Amino acid sequence: MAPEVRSGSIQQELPFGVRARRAKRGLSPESKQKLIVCGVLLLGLLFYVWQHIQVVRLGYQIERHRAAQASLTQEGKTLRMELSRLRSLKRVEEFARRELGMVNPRPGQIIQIEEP
Amino acid sequence: MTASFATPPRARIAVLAVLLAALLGVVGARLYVIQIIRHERLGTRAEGQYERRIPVAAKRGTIYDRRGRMLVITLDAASVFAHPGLVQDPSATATRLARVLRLPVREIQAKLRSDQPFVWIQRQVDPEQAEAVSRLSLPGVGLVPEGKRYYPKKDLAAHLIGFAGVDNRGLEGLELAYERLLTGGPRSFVSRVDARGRIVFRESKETHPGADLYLTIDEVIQHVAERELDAAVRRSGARAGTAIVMDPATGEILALANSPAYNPSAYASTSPAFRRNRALTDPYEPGSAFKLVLAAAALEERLVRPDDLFYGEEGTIEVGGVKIRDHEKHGWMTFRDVMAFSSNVGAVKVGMKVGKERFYSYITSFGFGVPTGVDLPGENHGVIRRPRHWSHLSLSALSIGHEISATALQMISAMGAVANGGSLIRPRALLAVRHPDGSVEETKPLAVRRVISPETARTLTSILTEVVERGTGQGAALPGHRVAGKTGTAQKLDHETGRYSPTKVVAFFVGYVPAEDPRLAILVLVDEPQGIAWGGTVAAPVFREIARETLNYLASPPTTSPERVAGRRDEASPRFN
Repeated sequence: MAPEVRSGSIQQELPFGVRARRAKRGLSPESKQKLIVCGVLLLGLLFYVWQHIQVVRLGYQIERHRAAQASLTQEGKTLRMELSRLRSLKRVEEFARRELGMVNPRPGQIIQIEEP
Repeated sequence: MTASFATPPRARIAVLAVLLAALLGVVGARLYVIQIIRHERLGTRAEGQYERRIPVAAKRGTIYDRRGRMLVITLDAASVFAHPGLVQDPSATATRLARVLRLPVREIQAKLRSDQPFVWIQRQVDPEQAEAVSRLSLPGVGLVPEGKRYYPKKDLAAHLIGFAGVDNRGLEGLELAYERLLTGGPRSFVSRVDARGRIVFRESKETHPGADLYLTIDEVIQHVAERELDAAVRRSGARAGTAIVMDPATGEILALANSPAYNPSAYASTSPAFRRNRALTDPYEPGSAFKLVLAAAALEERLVRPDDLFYGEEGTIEVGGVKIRDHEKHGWMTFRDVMAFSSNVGAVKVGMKVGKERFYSYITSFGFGVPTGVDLPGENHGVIRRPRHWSHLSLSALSIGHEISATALQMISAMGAVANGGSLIRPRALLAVRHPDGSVEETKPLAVRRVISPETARTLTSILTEVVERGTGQGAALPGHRVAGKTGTAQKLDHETGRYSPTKVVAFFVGYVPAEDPRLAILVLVDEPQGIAWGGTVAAPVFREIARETLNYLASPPTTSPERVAGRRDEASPRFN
């Protein structure tokens, strides 16, 4: 008795090489659709990974800039503090009197000039 | 082989499916254990690996003077710590640390061998030392960022500014009073870190610095006040001294100096007695300077007029068996003379005219017996007893500034009220606050109450100018400007004998300038000057020098010719007393 042939079972039983050849000839619209969906998903995944890498990279960059900013701020503060110390009136006055021989103005030596 | 080929494909698929299902079941079960049962524990562990709390230095606000000159600043400074339990070789570690930190090896060794889980090796080290310690990479030794307070002007305004401790908490002065404003936000932030511990991005809110303070003091005026006060204290061999310069219209303290001073950077090695802000913590009997309040009460109540006459009783008056003396004998004198020559006999007679209750109400109205409310910690309220507790001598004693104690700040506030036309203004040391968002909040003058009328204030000013022009305060006279003021020389109570000391006195001068439009109220107090010392000889010249340089600095032009100008006279007919 000859085996019963059913269309569905014939496709299932085709060897792999035959299926590949058929695929070369052209994908069914259903497969194309699946392929597009997979592609989009893959792209989305790639975008997500790329974005994540960018975030990390920018994070490092921000931290480097932050450290540089903190260091410069600290340097600025140190310089301002040093300036304040050097401008200390006690120090300036001592220097003016001892090194430059300056004295306080006597009454009459100060002339107030009105602004025009 | 034949058997496997013999197995139908469906059966093989079924076996595979079962195997896969079993595997999936195992994975699912594992997932359930991880995600559901051990979720919390593992979550915490994961967070600990990629999240870290990063400590940051305290960013305490900067303090400036009224013209924006920096007085105090915080700079980053790391502190070195150790977990003794984690230190592998205490001897070697101590030797290497000692070399970098310039500390005795033994001291570090003792700390590293302690039973404590955590010890500080050295707080707030130099940036170079911190870098060197970091390079050593010693197990169990670490660095933590901290802020270090710097006082670049050293002892300038030290008593007013105060200081902050190693933990960056204000301990005295304005550093303590404005602790809440000066302290910054959180001292750490949560950050996501990579496998090497590097920060990837910050997750919690940024830390923020504290607010910056702008003080009412002016560096130049403060320097002048300190220099002149120090010189006077040295010259007179005094125990201590205080000078305050204030704007009488606004209550802004332009300078507050105490001698001896101290360096806030080295506060730990300074005696607390040196660190005390005597201007507001130490009450003194004001002596004759208090006649100011008596005169204000008498004039405001129209009980005396400036040219009313009083008999000086040849320098001595007996009250309740106690003799009150003048240092010079006086016959008939006007009320102006009583004030100008600081006659105790005259003052006692004026006091009797004013009376207990009335005098007491003026004393309290001028702010004595209660703190001035200045924005500085540790203010003393002074002592004034209620009239029902007064003895038969109290009214007379109070008329010459005894049986009352007042701080220098209370005295200058009272004088400021006369200077500004009769309003008692609360003294203040803070001019403005600059918040971290850049907004600036200014403080406003606060008038406590009106104590005398503008008319009385004007009359009193004319009397007080005579104190300087021809009376006990001539040492304060300033060519080109009219000065109003009052001297005071109060004997101090000897705690050993319980009597007034014949040698220990407090010399005062408190006044304002220019008298007709006061820009400065100045108080000078010299505590226990040696030898023959009076307010007029010891304190008044300090007033003059401070006033002269400050007015030059403020470009306040002379208001009179350099010759002295006689005080105006009240033309009303005198009354005899």
